[in-house]
Amino acid sequence: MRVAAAAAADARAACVSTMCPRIDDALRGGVRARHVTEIAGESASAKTTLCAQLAVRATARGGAAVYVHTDGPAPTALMRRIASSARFVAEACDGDEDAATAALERVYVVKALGDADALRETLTAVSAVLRAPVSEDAVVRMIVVDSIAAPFRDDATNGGWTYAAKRAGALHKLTMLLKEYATKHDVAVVVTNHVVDSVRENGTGAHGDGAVATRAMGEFTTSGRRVVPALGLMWSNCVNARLFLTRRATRGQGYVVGGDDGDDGNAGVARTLHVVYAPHLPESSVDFVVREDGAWDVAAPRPRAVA
Amino acid sequence: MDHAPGDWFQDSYALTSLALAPSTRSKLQRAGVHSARDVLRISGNSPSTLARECALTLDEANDALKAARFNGEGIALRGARSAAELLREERARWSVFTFCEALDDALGGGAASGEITELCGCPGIGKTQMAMQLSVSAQTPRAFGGLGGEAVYVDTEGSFTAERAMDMAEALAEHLGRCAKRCEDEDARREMEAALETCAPEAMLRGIHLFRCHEVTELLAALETLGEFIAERPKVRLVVIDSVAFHFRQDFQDMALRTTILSKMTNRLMSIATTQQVAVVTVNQVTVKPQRDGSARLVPALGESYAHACTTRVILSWENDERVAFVTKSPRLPQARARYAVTAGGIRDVRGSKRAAP
Repeated sequence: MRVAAAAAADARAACVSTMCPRIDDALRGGVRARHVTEIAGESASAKTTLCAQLAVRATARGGAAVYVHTDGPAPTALMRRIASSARFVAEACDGDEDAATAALERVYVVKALGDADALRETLTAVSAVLRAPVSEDAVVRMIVVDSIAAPFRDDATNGGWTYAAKRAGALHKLTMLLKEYATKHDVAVVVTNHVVDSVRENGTGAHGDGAVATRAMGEFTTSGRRVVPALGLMWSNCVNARLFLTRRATRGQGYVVGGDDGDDGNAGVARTLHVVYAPHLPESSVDFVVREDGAWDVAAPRPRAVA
Repeated sequence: MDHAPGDWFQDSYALTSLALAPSTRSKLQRAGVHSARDVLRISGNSPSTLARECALTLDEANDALKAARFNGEGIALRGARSAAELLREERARWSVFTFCEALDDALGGGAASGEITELCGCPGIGKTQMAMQLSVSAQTPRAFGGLGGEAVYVDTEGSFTAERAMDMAEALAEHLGRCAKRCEDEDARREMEAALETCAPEAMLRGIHLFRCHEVTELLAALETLGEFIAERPKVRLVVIDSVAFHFRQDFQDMALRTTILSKMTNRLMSIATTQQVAVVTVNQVTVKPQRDGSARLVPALGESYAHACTTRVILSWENDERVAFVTKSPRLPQARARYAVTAGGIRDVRGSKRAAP
C-alpha cells in the first residue's frame, strides 16, 4: 500500500525525456515510469526513431534500456547517431563525450522475431536484468517493444472472432508482464503499434457504435488515409497512455528519403505527434521533424486536427 | 426490553429454532410452549415466573428467556429490518460528488455510500479521471459541505497518476479558497478558513490510500483485507477499484470459475459498502459484442451476470466530440444523461451548461 503523496514525489523524478522540449511539455516531462506508453503510427511515421531516442536517453546518468525489436533489424546506426549528437551529449552526459559513447553499451538490444509466444519468452527473460542489473550504473529505466503488433500481423485481417479472442488473451499476458515490470522496477515501458484503415461499413468493423469506438481509440489522417491503431479496442484498454504519430507529404507524393526539414533541400514531410489519451495528459498535438540524429520538434505550434 | 419496530417477527420463532439445551427445550415443550413469543408472554419478562410455570430451574429459565429475547437473531432472519428502517438509513446516506453538477444531479448527489457505482467506457473517455476526481473530492472538508474523508484506490491497471491527482487537489483547494472568500456568514467563513489549513493539496494526496494489484489473486487478497483496513481508518468514505475488468477479462480460461470469483468479489465489495457505509466505485471497460447480423455493439465488459453486481451503472461515451455520461441502471434514479468535461482541474460541467439537456 502506498500513499498517493509519496507516489507524486516519485513520479516527477521518473520521466524519460524525449529530448524534444515541446513534446516533453505535452507529456509533462517525458515518457513516464510505471506506465505503459504506446506509440502508434503508420510505417515511416518515426516510431522507431522516437523509440531509439528514448532508449538512448534513458541511459543518461547510470541508466540502461532494453530494446526489443520484433520486426526488421535493430536501429543501431540511428542509436549511434543519436548518442553522438551534440544534443544528447549536452543534455544527458553533461557535455562528457566519452560518457556519451559509453551510453550505447547500456542499451540492450534483444531480437524477438516470430510469434507472440516468442515475444513473451523474450520479455520473461528480460526480468533477469531488471532484478539484477549488470552494474550499479546500469539500472534499467526503460523497456521498448518495437513493435507489439508485428507478432500478430499474420492473420489479423481474416481471423474472425475466435482469432480475436485468442489474440486478446496473448496481448493481455504481455500487458500483465510489462505492467509488472513497470511498477515493480520503476521502469518506463514503450511499445509501438501499427495502424489499420478505419473501417466502418464492412462486416467485421463495428458500426453503430463504431464511431464511438474509433473516436476512443484515436482516428487520424496520415498520408491521406483514415487510420486507427491496430489490435483493436481490447488492446486499447491495456496501455496507460497512447501517442499517435501522423505524417503528411507536403510536397509531391510518396516518401521522402533523408531529412525532413531542408538541410539537404529535401523537405517534404510534416509530422505530428498526438496525445490520444493518458491519465495525466490532456489531448494535444506537437509537430516535429526527423533529422539524421533523431526527432526534433518544430517551433511553430499548429492547432490540433479534429479526430 | 425495548422493542424496535422491526422486531415483531422475531417473536414468532419456533422454540426449536432457539439455541437451548435439549433438556430445557423438552421441559418447555412439555409445558406447552411453542415459540419465542410464548416464552416471553408466559414469563412476563421475569425468569422466576417462567421457572415456576414450566418447571425449570432459575438458571434454565434465565437461559431460555435470554434465548427468546436475543437468540432469534442468530438464525434465519438475522439482521432483517423493515423497509421503513432502511428508508430512514438511506436518507442519512451521503454521496461523494463528482464535481460535475449535471452528473451529480443525474446520480442524485454523486456516488452514494452503501452502493456500488460502476463507471464503464472506452479508453480515454475519462473513467480514471472520474475515479481520481472522486478520491479527491471525498476529502472536501465538512465546513464546505463535503465529507472530510479519505479514499482507498485499488489500481489494477497502473493508471493512477499521482501528479494528475495533485492537479485536481490543487484545483479543489483553490476552489474552496474562493468559496471561503465569498461566504458572507462570518462564523461559517472562519470555520471554512480553519478547515482550509488542514486540506492543503499534499494533505489530500496523503488521504488517498493506494493499492497496486498486478494479478487477480492480489486483487482478491487486497479486497479481503480491505474491511479491516477501513475499520482502522474510519475516515475512509470511498473505495475505488480501477478497473475490475482488467484482470477478469483475460486471465481466465474457465468461464465458470471466472463467474464464481467475480461474484465472490462483488459480494465482498457489497459487504464493504454496506457494513462500513462507504461508497464503492468500480471501473469497467467496454467490449465489442458481435451481433447476429454481423455487426457489433459496444457493451460493458464481464458479461450479463456481472451487470447485476453494481447498484448504479454509468456509461461514459462520446457524442461527437463531447463526453456524455448515461445513468443506465439504478434502483432509485431515473435514466438520465449528463454532459461532462475533463479539464485541467479535473471533472467539471461543460462550460455554459449547468444543467443537463433532457
